[in-house]
Amino acid sequence: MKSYCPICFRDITHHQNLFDWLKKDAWICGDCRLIFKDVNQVFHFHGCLIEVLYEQSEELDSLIMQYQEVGDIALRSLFFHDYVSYMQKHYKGYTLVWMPSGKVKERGLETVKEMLDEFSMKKQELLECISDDPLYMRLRNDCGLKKQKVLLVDVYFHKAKLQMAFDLLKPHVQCIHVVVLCGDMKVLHTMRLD
Amino acid sequence: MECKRCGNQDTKYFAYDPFHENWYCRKCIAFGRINVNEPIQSKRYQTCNIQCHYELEYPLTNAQLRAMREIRLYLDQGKDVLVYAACGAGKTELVMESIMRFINQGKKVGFAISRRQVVLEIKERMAKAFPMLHVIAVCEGYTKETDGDLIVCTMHQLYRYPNAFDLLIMDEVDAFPYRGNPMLEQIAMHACQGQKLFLTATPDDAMKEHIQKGDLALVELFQRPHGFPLIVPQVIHTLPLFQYLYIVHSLHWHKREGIQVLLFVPTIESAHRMRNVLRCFFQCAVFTSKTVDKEAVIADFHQKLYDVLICTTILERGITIRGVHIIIYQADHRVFQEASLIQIIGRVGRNIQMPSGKGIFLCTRVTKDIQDCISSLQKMNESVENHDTKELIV
Repeated sequence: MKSYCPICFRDITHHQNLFDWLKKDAWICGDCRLIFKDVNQVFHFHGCLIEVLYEQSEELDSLIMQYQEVGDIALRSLFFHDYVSYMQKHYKGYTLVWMPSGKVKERGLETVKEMLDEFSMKKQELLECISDDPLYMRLRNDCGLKKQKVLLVDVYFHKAKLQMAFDLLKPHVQCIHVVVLCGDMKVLHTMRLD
Repeated sequence: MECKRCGNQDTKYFAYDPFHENWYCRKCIAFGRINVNEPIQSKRYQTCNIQCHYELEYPLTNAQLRAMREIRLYLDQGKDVLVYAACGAGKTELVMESIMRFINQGKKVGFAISRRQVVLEIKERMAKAFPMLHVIAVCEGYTKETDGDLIVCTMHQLYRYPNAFDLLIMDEVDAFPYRGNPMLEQIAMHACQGQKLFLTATPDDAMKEHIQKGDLALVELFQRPHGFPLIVPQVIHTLPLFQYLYIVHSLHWHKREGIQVLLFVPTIESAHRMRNVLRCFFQCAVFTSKTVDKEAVIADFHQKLYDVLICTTILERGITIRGVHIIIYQADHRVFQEASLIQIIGRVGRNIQMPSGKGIFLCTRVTKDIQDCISSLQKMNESVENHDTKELIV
């Protein structure tokens, strides 16, 4: 385990809370931990359940920006790190599907896919973007869907994008659950809670 | 492994990218990603072919002319120069001649400062002095245009200009965030392919070492343009409650005389606490890093809408306010280091119409920083006197 925080490079025990200190498996320091504010709520959206992990904030936005746009690859496994074991247990038997990006050529990698590096769940590439605009997506020809349970993962809660993905996937799968990394609380509060 | 931009060699800051199969530096990632062993691409910025000259409102004094001649001499010899000048001695005016000479030779000149507030002020002064040049400010909120005849920017923005400048003038090199930040230092070194001109009122030990080694040429100027000596502060040590009473009492007298006061406090919370007390008696405003409309508050203070402006060390540098007196509450707090105290006291008496003023340090105990501040101000004043008598004898 690294002894320094991968975000701010300070000692990992810097401003750490007692719980983390006792567990001794912290991966970021106490100050950077404050960037990730848990939401712990499940929302309804077009008949599907959406689980939002963190609250969207300026700090988290800039961290995601640093990973996706600047290309700081070292941050890739950091975002879902806290939820890996939970999601593997809770969504057993689901196929992990990530939201495609229109900037794969530009970035040289599928950023959302790489975020899910640590997951040992079955992963499948079902969707692909046909242009730079992420809204223009389609099912891959070679996807071979077999009425399975799908866990769709995205970084931001984006209504139009999710709607598009639902329309494409729904006729071919048994059920869809969605996990998004972060969402704007103002938008989320307008939606129905589970 | 070494980062070409920030000079970092610590392995913990390097990360491997398996997708592009290369290593990159994470220490300076805020300035964009740069791979190890990848040369920094230097953009070619336009150089102007204008014959420029500068216009000043006041003629330069003999002491300033002497300092200017020294700067010119050292720059001609190809040396880097450190201008060690008192606050309000006219450092900005001194370097205008060098800027003019370099631009007339078709070279690129940059002016870097630590603080955004000061960048905007210097830009205005430069634009006024060089009306024929296109002077641009590059700092937070002003990054659309990045190339002009003369570039005034914050230290952080220097990452945009690798190997761009033939003359890089760096003001307030002793201030946060430049002081003790090797990453910014390295970025500044990369921005300059020619000579460097440092300006400061409080050089640190590292700089003094460079001067002794002979890497840096030193030009001193302690005399202010109006010829009055620097203000040596009055130290009053008493308990915090009495400090409050003293502040109210002296503000009352200053208000009668129509003199505005800058009241420095150590923290943002204490600034708000002070405002809650003082607003019962005076027109006052708070200026901290959290203040939203900074420009508006300063403009109102210039127009004398407030009797007192309560501020943190954010206002210690680069700001010129006419005929202002200063009071420091809790001057023994650790944020008020020697350099800060000298800068703060330098806000007093910057105007020719009001060359003298008052500076009061309120503290519960006299710290080493306060003693050092007073002794270096006295030293500066003495050296001015010695110089004057020498000139008289000659």
